[in-house]
Amino acid sequence: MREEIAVASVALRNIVKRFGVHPVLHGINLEIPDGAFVVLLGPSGCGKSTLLRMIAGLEEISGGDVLIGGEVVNGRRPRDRNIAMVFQNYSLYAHMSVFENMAFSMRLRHCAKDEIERKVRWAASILGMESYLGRYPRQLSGGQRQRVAMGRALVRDPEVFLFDEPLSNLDAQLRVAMRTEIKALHQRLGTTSIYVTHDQIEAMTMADQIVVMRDGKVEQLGAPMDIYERPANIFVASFVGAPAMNLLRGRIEGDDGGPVFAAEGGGRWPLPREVAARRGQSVVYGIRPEDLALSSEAESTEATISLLETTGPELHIYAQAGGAAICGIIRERLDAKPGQVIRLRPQIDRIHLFDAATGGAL
Amino acid sequence: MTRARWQNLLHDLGACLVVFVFLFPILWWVLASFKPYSAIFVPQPVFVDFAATTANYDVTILGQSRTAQALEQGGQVGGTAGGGSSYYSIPSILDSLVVAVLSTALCLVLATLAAYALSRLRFAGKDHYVFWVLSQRMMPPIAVAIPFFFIFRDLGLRDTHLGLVIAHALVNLPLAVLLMKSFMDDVPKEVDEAAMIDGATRLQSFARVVLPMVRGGLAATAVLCFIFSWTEFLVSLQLTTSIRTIPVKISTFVTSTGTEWGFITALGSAAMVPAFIFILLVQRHLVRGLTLGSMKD
Amino acid sequence: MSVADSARSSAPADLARQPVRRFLARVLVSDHPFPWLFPATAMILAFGIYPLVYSIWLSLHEWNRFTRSFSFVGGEQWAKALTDPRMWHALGVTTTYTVVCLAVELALGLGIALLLDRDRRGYGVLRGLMTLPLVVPPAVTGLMFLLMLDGQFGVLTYYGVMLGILERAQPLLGHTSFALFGVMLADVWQWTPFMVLIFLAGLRALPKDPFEAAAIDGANAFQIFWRLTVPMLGRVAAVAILIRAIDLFRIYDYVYVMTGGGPGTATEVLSFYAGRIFTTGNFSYAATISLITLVVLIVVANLFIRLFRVRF
Repeated sequence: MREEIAVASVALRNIVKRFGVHPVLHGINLEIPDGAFVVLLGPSGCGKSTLLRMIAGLEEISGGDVLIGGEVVNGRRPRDRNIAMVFQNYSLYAHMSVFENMAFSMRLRHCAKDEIERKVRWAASILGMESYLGRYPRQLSGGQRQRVAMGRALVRDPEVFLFDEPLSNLDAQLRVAMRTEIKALHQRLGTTSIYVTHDQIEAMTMADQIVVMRDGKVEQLGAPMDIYERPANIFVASFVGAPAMNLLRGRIEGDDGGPVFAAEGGGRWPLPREVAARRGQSVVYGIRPEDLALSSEAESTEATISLLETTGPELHIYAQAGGAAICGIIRERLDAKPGQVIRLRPQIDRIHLFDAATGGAL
Repeated sequence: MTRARWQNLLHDLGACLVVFVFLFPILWWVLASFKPYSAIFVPQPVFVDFAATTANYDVTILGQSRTAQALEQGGQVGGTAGGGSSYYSIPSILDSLVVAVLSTALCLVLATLAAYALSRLRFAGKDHYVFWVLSQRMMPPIAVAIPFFFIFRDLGLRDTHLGLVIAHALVNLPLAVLLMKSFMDDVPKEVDEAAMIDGATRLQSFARVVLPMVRGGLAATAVLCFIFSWTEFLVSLQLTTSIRTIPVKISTFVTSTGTEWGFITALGSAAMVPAFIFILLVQRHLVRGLTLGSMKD
Repeated sequence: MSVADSARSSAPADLARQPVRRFLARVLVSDHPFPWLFPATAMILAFGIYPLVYSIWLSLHEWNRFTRSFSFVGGEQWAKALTDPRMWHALGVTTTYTVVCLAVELALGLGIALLLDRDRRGYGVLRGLMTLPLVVPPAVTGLMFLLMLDGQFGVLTYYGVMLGILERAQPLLGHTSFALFGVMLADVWQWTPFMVLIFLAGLRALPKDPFEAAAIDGANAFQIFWRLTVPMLGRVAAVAILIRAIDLFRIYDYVYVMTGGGPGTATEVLSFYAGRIFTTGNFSYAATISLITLVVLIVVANLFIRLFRVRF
């Protein structure tokens, strides 16, 4: 049985939020297309949860407009916005059974009994919850409670799903499993979803679009690979991708062979022929660990190994190169020990340069 | 932590001893209610060596008249004043029960509504309001009882059950509001938010979500309100003439001609029973809730 | 929220059935605290303001026997009260009573709570029994202790004499210096269980981890108690102290029943003094004394809340 599910876009225009006199969001503009899965990504305190709650109607809007389905909903109560939300702590109704938790919204609208029954069972079947519909929240595991929270949202049949860091209370393995489930659910239902998290892996794996936020501002907006391969500034570059991108301070110098990066600690790193920076300019050189490779060519840089970590498929090399600490990830077996010297070479087309003063990409 | 067996034994002994010490006055009192005066008013305390009698209970609970009793006994029973029927106390017990239950109900309704607002809603002057509510408790009893006399008399509520119910509910309000607020504080605000997103109004969220989740707190507060009403003396004294709650009734046993210790101990003992049953029923919740919210950060 | 909105959100059948409920829902739907606070506030205002206002009015007037009416005398009653040695004596007695009872009830309450906070069999019963004193009407408590402290027939007097702390000729309640202790005994007996309940609840809510860590770190029982338990219970204790202190300061029942303020004025607390004056017909002065009690309580409570940052 296929449910008729409405889809709508969400738009934020110049959203400003103040707590007292203290501004928390500084003019956010976003257009979220129909049926997209958008992730608000950022460190704690960047304002992503506040933004989500303003979309939900749980926080007052200090300035700007929130539009859902093309209509301004600023003054509307949460119940009138046709949204559903999954909370970080699930917020289940402890005194009601799982079935009743999911049926609550329909009971409030005085829906017919058989319709309630139908919809709850439909949602339960999608999430694989049929076996514990009669149980109470306190009898359930974390993952099961998570499902109930999602089931409750599913039953609402909303225009927009809102997720507020729903997986942060689960253990690592469960988190991975739930991630896949949520994504599969989205593919199946196609409902517009806005998902808040500080975990960049969640963002990368689940999003159609990522909105990277910091200190109440949008740092970058784009598809996951765009964010990964073309970060707009140092913050985004270091926030997305783990282990984090190697960032080295230094200057552009040149020699006969073309521009070269001279790190503060003395190391010299290659640059592509064409760079959007002047000779002598202070820059920050960025190269992801996975884009470094072992090399014996002359153009490679010397590095002294500090620490070796193996994750199974990969080997993480932590080393000192020209006074700077760097990390490299290789997939070959390497027979080396801390203290040994190796040579590393970055992939030329994966080098990032950032202006040292502004942090912006060059 | 592991402890030696003798340490545990010592601990148990100590606990029992302490509880016994605290129970002793009550035990002594109840014992006295079964004693003839000859066993009470002696220089050396009598524990078991006396002829137990139910005479005191016969008069206060069963309504036996004292003259009939005196005749029956063929001599003095004790005390020197009053006819038997005026010591009959079942009406007092019923009055106390009715007033306690109704005033507790009234108090809880008003208090939970106010507590919800104090717990959930942000508004200016909230802390001042809370202090103002608390300060209601700061007037000396006399200064409250006398004006109550005037107000209630003018309202025609004096010596009525309704008047007493209102008065007791009123005096309990401050504590009930504070207690219920702290219980509601323990329920995360996100649950309200989830309910409101699910389509509930504030009232629906309050009635169908938050209230059921603080059932334990309600029980604890109910117990405290009940006990207060059950034991309250001054205001009840001022506001009634024909209705006599138990404490007031007991005070009438202290007459200008003498103190009817026998009846006092009997009624006092009988009065403990309903209240204690009530406490036993909700003791678990009472202990759990009395942190008054201060353990949550 | 508009009428249209609320109409849209409830099914047609509901409208016809419960118009009152709909009205209430509409009123209570906003986030404004007014409707929620109104019933309780109204009641407190109606019945609570009057005693206050009346007392203030009384304290500013004097009953003129000749004209048989009240005449305004401004601060006269207040000046009289503030220079009345007996008032200051009563204040002193009340303060002593409050401080000592509070200290004893706190210490005993905590100690007994620690003692009874075990999950072994039977301790639940013990904890339940411990609450029994709370259930006795204060007036009856007073009578209980009156009987037990009686000079001739009191069981406590008997054992007191045996232990050498009391003399037959001078029962505790007849002793000028120590009668207050007799009254305090009744209070401590009745209200220590209240403290026990509060501390039990507080102990229950304490997290286990710090204690386990301390045990591993080598702290002994006393150190754990002094450096962990006590500070962590501080917040619970603060609220309990506040509520209890307010009630202790207004004590009346025990004094009324046990000593009548005596011997002399040895146990005359402020509330009782006010009551005595009241029975002589001097309502104005009684009201003044009562207001002084109120003012002291408000000031001290405020200071306490600020100082210890008590949050409700």
